[in-house]
Amino acid sequence: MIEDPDELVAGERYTTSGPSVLIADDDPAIRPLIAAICRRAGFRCDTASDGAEALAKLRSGIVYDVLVLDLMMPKVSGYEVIATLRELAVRPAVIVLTAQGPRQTEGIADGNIVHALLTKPFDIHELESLISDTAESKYVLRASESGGS
Amino acid sequence: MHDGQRSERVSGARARDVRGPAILVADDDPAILQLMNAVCRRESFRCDTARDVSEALEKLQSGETYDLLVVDVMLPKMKGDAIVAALREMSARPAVIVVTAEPPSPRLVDGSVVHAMLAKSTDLLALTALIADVAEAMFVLRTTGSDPSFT
Repeated sequence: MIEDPDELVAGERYTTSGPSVLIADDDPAIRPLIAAICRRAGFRCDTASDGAEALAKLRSGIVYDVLVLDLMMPKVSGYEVIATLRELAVRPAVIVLTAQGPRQTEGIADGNIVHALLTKPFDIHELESLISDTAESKYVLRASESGGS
Repeated sequence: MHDGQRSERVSGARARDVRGPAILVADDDPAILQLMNAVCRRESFRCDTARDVSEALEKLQSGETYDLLVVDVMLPKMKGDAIVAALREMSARPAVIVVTAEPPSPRLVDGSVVHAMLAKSTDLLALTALIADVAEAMFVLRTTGSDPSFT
Protein backbone atom coordinates (compact mmCIF):
# COMPACT_ATOMS: atom_id res chain seq x y z
CA MET A 1 0.00 0.00 0.00
CA ILE A 2 1.08 3.55 -0.59
CA GLU A 3 1.39 4.99 2.87
CA ASP A 4 3.27 8.25 2.46
CA PRO A 5 1.30 11.37 3.28
CA ASP A 6 -0.34 12.83 0.23
CA GLU A 7 -1.20 16.39 -0.48
CA LEU A 8 -4.78 17.18 -1.46
CA VAL A 9 -4.75 19.14 -4.70
CA ALA A 10 -7.85 20.03 -6.70
CA GLY A 11 -9.90 17.31 -5.04
CA GLU A 12 -7.48 14.48 -5.73
CA ARG A 13 -4.76 12.91 -3.66
CA TYR A 14 -1.62 14.13 -5.29
CA THR A 15 1.45 12.10 -4.44
CA THR A 16 4.32 14.45 -3.72
CA SER A 17 7.13 11.94 -3.66
CA GLY A 18 7.40 10.97 -7.30
CA PRO A 19 5.63 8.77 -9.80
CA SER A 20 3.56 5.84 -8.64
CA VAL A 21 2.62 2.62 -10.37
CA LEU A 22 -0.26 0.19 -9.86
CA ILE A 23 0.44 -3.41 -10.90
CA ALA A 24 -2.66 -5.49 -11.64
CA ASP A 25 -1.96 -9.15 -12.32
CA ASP A 26 -3.33 -12.39 -10.89
CA ASP A 27 0.03 -14.15 -11.32
CA PRO A 28 1.65 -13.87 -7.88
CA ALA A 29 5.15 -13.94 -9.39
CA ILE A 30 4.57 -11.02 -11.74
CA ARG A 31 3.64 -8.53 -9.02
CA PRO A 32 6.90 -8.74 -7.03
CA LEU A 33 8.93 -8.82 -10.23
CA ILE A 34 7.45 -5.59 -11.53
CA ALA A 35 7.45 -4.05 -8.06
CA ALA A 36 11.19 -4.69 -7.86
CA ILE A 37 11.64 -3.04 -11.26
CA CYS A 38 9.63 0.00 -10.12
CA ARG A 39 11.61 0.26 -6.90
CA ARG A 40 14.85 0.12 -8.90
CA ALA A 41 13.56 3.06 -10.92
CA GLY A 42 12.74 4.93 -7.70
CA PHE A 43 8.97 4.74 -8.10
CA ARG A 44 6.42 3.77 -5.52
CA CYS A 45 4.04 0.98 -6.37
CA ASP A 46 0.92 -0.77 -5.28
CA THR A 47 -0.54 -4.11 -6.35
CA ALA A 48 -3.89 -5.68 -7.20
CA SER A 49 -4.45 -9.38 -7.77
CA ASP A 50 -7.55 -9.01 -9.94
CA GLY A 51 -9.45 -6.44 -11.95
CA ALA A 52 -11.96 -5.67 -9.21
CA GLU A 53 -9.20 -4.81 -6.75
CA ALA A 54 -7.48 -2.70 -9.40
CA LEU A 55 -10.66 -0.70 -10.05
CA ALA A 56 -11.24 -0.23 -6.33
CA LYS A 57 -7.75 1.23 -5.97
CA LEU A 58 -8.13 3.42 -9.04
CA ARG A 59 -11.35 4.81 -7.61
CA SER A 60 -9.96 5.22 -4.10
CA GLY A 61 -8.62 8.71 -4.70
CA ILE A 62 -5.00 7.65 -4.91
CA VAL A 63 -3.56 8.87 -8.19
CA TYR A 64 -1.38 6.44 -10.11
CA ASP A 65 0.75 7.56 -13.03
CA VAL A 66 1.02 4.13 -14.62
CA LEU A 67 -1.13 1.02 -14.51
CA VAL A 68 0.63 -2.18 -15.56
CA LEU A 69 -2.32 -4.35 -16.50
CA ASP A 70 -2.81 -8.03 -17.24
CA LEU A 71 -5.76 -8.79 -19.52
CA MET A 72 -6.87 -12.20 -18.26
CA MET A 73 -7.73 -11.74 -14.58
CA PRO A 74 -10.48 -13.13 -12.37
CA LYS A 75 -13.57 -11.16 -11.28
CA VAL A 76 -12.99 -8.23 -13.65
CA SER A 77 -10.80 -8.67 -16.73
CA GLY A 78 -8.19 -6.24 -17.96
CA TYR A 79 -10.45 -5.50 -20.94
CA GLU A 80 -13.17 -4.38 -18.53
CA VAL A 81 -10.70 -2.29 -16.54
CA ILE A 82 -9.70 -0.50 -19.75
CA ALA A 83 -13.36 0.13 -20.63
CA THR A 84 -14.01 1.55 -17.17
CA LEU A 85 -10.93 3.76 -17.31
CA ARG A 86 -12.46 5.60 -20.26
CA GLU A 87 -15.10 6.91 -17.85
CA LEU A 88 -12.61 8.23 -15.30
CA ALA A 89 -11.47 11.85 -15.43
CA VAL A 90 -8.12 11.10 -13.81
CA ARG A 91 -6.50 7.96 -15.11
CA PRO A 92 -3.07 6.46 -15.37
CA ALA A 93 -1.22 5.62 -18.54
CA VAL A 94 -1.77 1.93 -19.16
CA ILE A 95 0.89 -0.60 -20.09
CA VAL A 96 -0.73 -3.92 -20.98
CA LEU A 97 1.33 -6.98 -20.14
CA THR A 98 -0.22 -10.12 -21.51
CA ALA A 99 0.35 -13.69 -22.61
CA GLN A 100 -2.44 -13.23 -25.16
CA GLY A 101 -1.59 -13.41 -28.84
CA PRO A 102 -1.82 -10.58 -31.37
CA ARG A 103 -5.29 -11.66 -32.51
CA GLN A 104 -6.76 -11.13 -29.03
CA THR A 105 -4.99 -7.82 -28.49
CA GLU A 106 -5.36 -6.27 -31.92
CA GLY A 107 -6.15 -2.57 -31.69
CA ILE A 108 -5.98 -2.45 -27.91
CA ALA A 109 -2.93 -0.16 -27.75
CA ASP A 110 -4.78 2.84 -29.13
CA GLY A 111 -2.46 5.44 -27.58
CA ASN A 112 -5.38 6.99 -25.75
CA ILE A 113 -5.90 4.67 -22.78
CA VAL A 114 -3.34 1.96 -23.54
CA HIS A 115 0.08 3.45 -24.21
CA ALA A 116 1.97 0.24 -24.83
CA LEU A 117 1.58 -3.52 -24.98
CA LEU A 118 4.21 -6.05 -23.99
CA THR A 119 4.02 -9.81 -24.24
CA LYS A 120 4.88 -12.21 -21.42
CA PRO A 121 7.53 -13.18 -20.69
CA PHE A 122 8.81 -9.62 -20.73
CA ASP A 123 12.36 -8.38 -21.10
CA ILE A 124 13.29 -6.78 -17.79
CA HIS A 125 15.21 -3.90 -19.39
CA GLU A 126 12.47 -3.20 -21.92
CA LEU A 127 9.78 -3.03 -19.25
CA GLU A 128 11.97 -0.98 -16.95
CA SER A 129 12.57 1.63 -19.70
CA LEU A 130 8.92 1.68 -20.67
CA ILE A 131 7.66 2.14 -17.10
CA SER A 132 10.28 4.81 -16.38
CA ASP A 133 9.57 6.85 -19.50
CA THR A 134 5.80 6.56 -19.17
CA ALA A 135 5.68 7.26 -15.43
CA GLU A 136 8.04 10.25 -15.61
CA SER A 137 6.08 11.82 -18.49
CA LYS A 138 2.75 11.29 -16.80
CA TYR A 139 4.01 12.53 -13.46
CA VAL A 140 5.49 15.71 -14.93
CA LEU A 141 2.27 16.36 -16.84
CA ARG A 142 0.16 15.77 -13.75
CA ALA A 143 2.37 17.96 -11.60
CA SER A 144 2.28 20.82 -14.13
CA GLU A 145 -1.52 20.56 -14.46
CA SER A 146 -1.95 20.60 -10.69
CA GLY A 147 0.42 23.55 -10.34
CA GLY A 148 -1.43 25.53 -12.98
CA SER A 149 -4.91 25.00 -11.56
CA MET B 1 14.56 -0.48 -0.17
CA HIS B 2 16.36 0.08 3.09
CA ASP B 3 18.02 -2.94 4.65
CA GLY B 4 16.00 -2.33 7.82
CA GLN B 5 12.72 -2.58 5.91
CA ARG B 6 13.86 -5.76 4.21
CA SER B 7 14.94 -7.32 7.49
CA GLU B 8 11.67 -6.45 9.17
CA ARG B 9 9.63 -7.84 6.28
CA VAL B 10 11.59 -11.05 6.09
CA SER B 11 11.76 -11.62 9.83
CA GLY B 12 7.97 -11.84 10.09
CA ALA B 13 7.82 -14.34 7.26
CA ARG B 14 10.70 -16.34 8.68
CA ALA B 15 8.66 -17.02 11.78
CA ARG B 16 6.73 -19.34 9.45
CA ASP B 17 9.68 -20.71 7.48
CA VAL B 18 12.92 -20.29 9.37
CA ARG B 19 15.00 -21.21 6.35
CA GLY B 20 14.16 -17.99 4.50
CA PRO B 21 13.88 -17.25 0.76
CA ALA B 22 15.29 -19.87 -1.61
CA ILE B 23 16.74 -19.42 -5.10
CA LEU B 24 17.59 -22.10 -7.63
CA VAL B 25 20.16 -21.01 -10.21
CA ALA B 26 20.47 -23.26 -13.25
CA ASP B 27 23.46 -22.20 -15.31
CA ASP B 28 26.65 -23.79 -16.58
CA ASP B 29 28.58 -20.52 -16.26
CA PRO B 30 30.65 -20.65 -13.04
CA ALA B 31 30.73 -16.84 -12.88
CA ILE B 32 26.92 -16.68 -12.72
CA LEU B 33 26.77 -19.38 -10.05
CA GLN B 34 29.44 -17.60 -8.03
CA LEU B 35 27.63 -14.27 -8.29
CA MET B 36 24.29 -15.73 -7.25
CA ASN B 37 25.89 -17.59 -4.36
CA ALA B 38 27.38 -14.30 -3.19
CA VAL B 39 23.97 -12.61 -3.42
CA CYS B 40 22.41 -15.37 -1.34
CA ARG B 41 25.15 -15.19 1.26
CA ARG B 42 24.73 -11.41 1.51
CA GLU B 43 20.96 -11.70 1.92
CA SER B 44 21.00 -14.86 4.03
CA PHE B 45 18.97 -16.66 1.37
CA ARG B 46 19.25 -20.33 0.53
CA CYS B 47 20.83 -20.94 -2.85
CA ASP B 48 20.84 -24.19 -4.81
CA THR B 49 22.66 -24.49 -8.10
CA ALA B 50 22.33 -26.76 -11.11
CA ARG B 51 24.82 -27.03 -13.95
CA ASP B 52 22.56 -28.80 -16.43
CA VAL B 53 18.93 -29.62 -17.09
CA SER B 54 18.96 -33.01 -15.35
CA GLU B 55 20.28 -31.46 -12.18
CA ALA B 56 17.78 -28.60 -12.37
CA LEU B 57 14.88 -31.01 -12.87
CA GLU B 58 16.06 -33.17 -10.00
CA LYS B 59 16.07 -30.18 -7.66
CA LEU B 60 12.76 -28.78 -8.89
CA GLN B 61 11.12 -32.19 -8.39
CA SER B 62 12.78 -32.92 -5.05
CA GLY B 63 9.99 -31.37 -3.00
CA GLU B 64 12.12 -28.37 -2.09
CA THR B 65 10.30 -25.05 -2.46
CA TYR B 66 12.00 -22.29 -4.41
CA ASP B 67 10.90 -18.68 -4.48
CA LEU B 68 12.90 -17.78 -7.57
CA LEU B 69 14.40 -19.76 -10.43
CA VAL B 70 17.09 -18.07 -12.52
CA VAL B 71 17.72 -20.29 -15.52
CA ASP B 72 19.85 -20.23 -18.64
CA VAL B 73 17.76 -21.88 -21.34
CA MET B 74 20.84 -22.89 -23.29
CA LEU B 75 21.99 -25.30 -20.61
CA PRO B 76 23.87 -28.49 -21.51
CA LYS B 77 21.70 -31.60 -21.88
CA MET B 78 18.74 -29.34 -22.62
CA LYS B 79 15.93 -31.59 -23.78
CA GLY B 80 13.49 -29.26 -25.44
CA ASP B 81 11.32 -27.50 -22.94
CA ALA B 82 11.88 -29.95 -20.09
CA ILE B 83 12.22 -27.31 -17.41
CA VAL B 84 9.22 -25.35 -18.64
CA ALA B 85 7.17 -28.57 -18.79
CA ALA B 86 8.22 -29.47 -15.23
CA LEU B 87 7.25 -26.03 -14.01
CA ARG B 88 3.84 -26.33 -15.66
CA GLU B 89 3.15 -29.39 -13.52
CA MET B 90 3.93 -27.57 -10.27
CA SER B 91 1.06 -26.10 -8.28
CA ALA B 92 3.18 -23.52 -6.41
CA ARG B 93 5.65 -22.16 -8.92
CA PRO B 94 8.60 -19.90 -8.28
CA ALA B 95 9.11 -16.64 -10.11
CA VAL B 96 11.10 -17.57 -13.20
CA ILE B 97 13.71 -15.35 -14.85
CA VAL B 98 15.32 -16.73 -17.99
CA VAL B 99 18.85 -15.58 -18.71
CA THR B 100 19.72 -16.07 -22.32
CA ALA B 101 22.51 -15.25 -24.75
CA GLU B 102 20.17 -15.22 -27.73
CA PRO B 103 16.41 -15.09 -28.28
CA PRO B 104 15.09 -18.49 -27.17
CA SER B 105 12.53 -20.45 -29.13
CA PRO B 106 8.89 -19.63 -28.35
CA ARG B 107 8.25 -23.03 -26.77
CA LEU B 108 10.86 -22.22 -24.11
CA VAL B 109 9.22 -18.98 -23.11
CA ASP B 110 5.67 -19.92 -22.20
CA GLY B 111 4.40 -16.68 -20.70
CA SER B 112 2.29 -18.51 -18.15
CA VAL B 113 5.39 -20.15 -16.63
CA VAL B 114 8.36 -17.95 -17.52
CA HIS B 115 7.88 -14.44 -16.23
CA ALA B 116 10.84 -12.40 -17.39
CA MET B 117 13.96 -12.55 -19.51
CA LEU B 118 17.38 -11.03 -19.22
CA ALA B 119 20.06 -10.84 -21.91
CA LYS B 120 23.20 -12.71 -20.93
CA SER B 121 25.17 -9.58 -21.80
CA THR B 122 23.36 -7.72 -19.03
CA ASP B 123 25.40 -6.53 -16.10
CA LEU B 124 23.92 -9.04 -13.66
CA LEU B 125 25.82 -7.45 -10.82
CA ALA B 126 23.64 -4.37 -11.22
CA LEU B 127 20.54 -6.54 -11.01
CA THR B 128 21.38 -8.45 -7.86
CA ALA B 129 19.27 -6.12 -5.71
CA LEU B 130 16.31 -6.70 -8.04
CA ILE B 131 16.82 -10.47 -7.90
CA ALA B 132 17.03 -10.36 -4.10
CA ASP B 133 13.88 -8.23 -3.89
CA VAL B 134 11.93 -10.65 -6.08
CA ALA B 135 13.02 -13.70 -4.08
CA GLU B 136 12.21 -12.01 -0.82
CA ALA B 137 8.78 -10.79 -1.99
CA MET B 138 7.92 -14.27 -3.29
CA PHE B 139 8.98 -15.72 0.05
CA VAL B 140 6.77 -13.28 1.98
CA LEU B 141 3.85 -14.07 -0.32
CA ARG B 142 4.43 -17.83 0.03
CA THR B 143 4.64 -17.75 3.81
CA THR B 144 2.02 -15.10 4.62
CA GLY B 145 -0.39 -15.39 1.69
CA SER B 146 -0.26 -11.62 1.09
CA ASP B 147 1.78 -9.32 -1.11
CA PRO B 148 4.40 -7.48 0.91
CA SER B 149 4.30 -3.71 1.02
CA PHE B 150 6.22 -2.44 -2.00
CA THR B 151 6.69 1.16 -0.84
